[in-house]
Amino acid sequence: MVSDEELMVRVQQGDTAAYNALFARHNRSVYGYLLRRTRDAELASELFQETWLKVHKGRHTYRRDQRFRPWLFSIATNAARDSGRRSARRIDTIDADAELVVPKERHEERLTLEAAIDRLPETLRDAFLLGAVHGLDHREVAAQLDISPDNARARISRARAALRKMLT
Amino acid sequence: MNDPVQDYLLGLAPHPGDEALHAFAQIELPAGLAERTLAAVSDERAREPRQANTGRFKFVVAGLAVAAATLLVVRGAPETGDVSSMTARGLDETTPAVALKMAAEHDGATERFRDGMAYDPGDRLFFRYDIERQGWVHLVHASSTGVSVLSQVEVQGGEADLRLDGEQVLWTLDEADASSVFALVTTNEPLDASVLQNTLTDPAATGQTVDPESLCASALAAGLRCDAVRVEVKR
Repeated sequence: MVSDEELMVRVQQGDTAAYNALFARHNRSVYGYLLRRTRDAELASELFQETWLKVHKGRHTYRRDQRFRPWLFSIATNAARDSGRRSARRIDTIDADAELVVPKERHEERLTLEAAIDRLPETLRDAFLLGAVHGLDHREVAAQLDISPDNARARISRARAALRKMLT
Repeated sequence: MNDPVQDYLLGLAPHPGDEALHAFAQIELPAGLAERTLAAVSDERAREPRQANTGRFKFVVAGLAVAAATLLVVRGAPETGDVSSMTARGLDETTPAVALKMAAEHDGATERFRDGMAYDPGDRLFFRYDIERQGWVHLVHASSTGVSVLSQVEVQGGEADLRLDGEQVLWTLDEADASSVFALVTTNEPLDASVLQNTLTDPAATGQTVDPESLCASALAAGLRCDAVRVEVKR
């Protein structure tokens, strides 16, 4: 199978079929990431379209020596971040090192994993989605979230701990 | 817990395998979103300028002396094409007629392009259009290796240098251009480069010698307007 990176080089050369192949491979992952990140289907759809348009418009900014998926997710992350700025959504300032308090009512019923992820603080959720769910390494997560790799690792670890607390 | 993906995500079990994790990571798109997205990208492709995959097609930063010299020279140059003569069966009369004018940088001087003159490899060509009204101008290069759409830009009526993103376009000649053709093709709407390339006679595919007349004849037959110039380069 042709690698993502090779397909992206073909996209840079104007190959529409290569773009469509990348879209077919990754569209559900990108949408899954954006939907879980925004928790808003309409906004996720808007950002999804914006992301893939930027993949096309920004194709010449892709470096041949970089992995495609982190590059793709960085576009999605930036789109979501810019959207947050545009709409002046709440900026989550929870310290990744602070104690996570799970509201009492959440102990009263068994949450699904999906609902538990949804209830993570934004800073932990973003790192968890990129690192644990979508498989980016700590350095790639750190680069996208403008934090240190150690901080990325800590956030993912704390997200896991928070999920365990909610689900067990 | 007995869901390997959930256990992994909670840090209670090893990685469940890419396939299982991807299945969790992915969410089906709402109906129509994929189609709308690809359509938006396709529209974007059609709108943007096209550039051939060649290092010889470049932009000149506006304000460079050579570009300024070109402007001065070309403005006074006679047309190399006749706007009024472009008619053919199937021609869409609403498509704006166009004339291609060129200048060449040769022996350190920029001057009007001369039909029949053999230029040196390394000489550079500059392009200017004269279009009867607003439309899309496509710069096409045809040689024995095939047809390429070099640029696509929407312009207003009148005469001006061919520019992309504010920068003048140029072509650096090499021996492969020994006998090649440059053409301007106009449309009312942006036309995908691949569609235009398929529309125009491809000398590489037909085994014919490239010539301005046959190239423009194929454009005209498709209802497009065209003006073309042959370029000779010393081998």
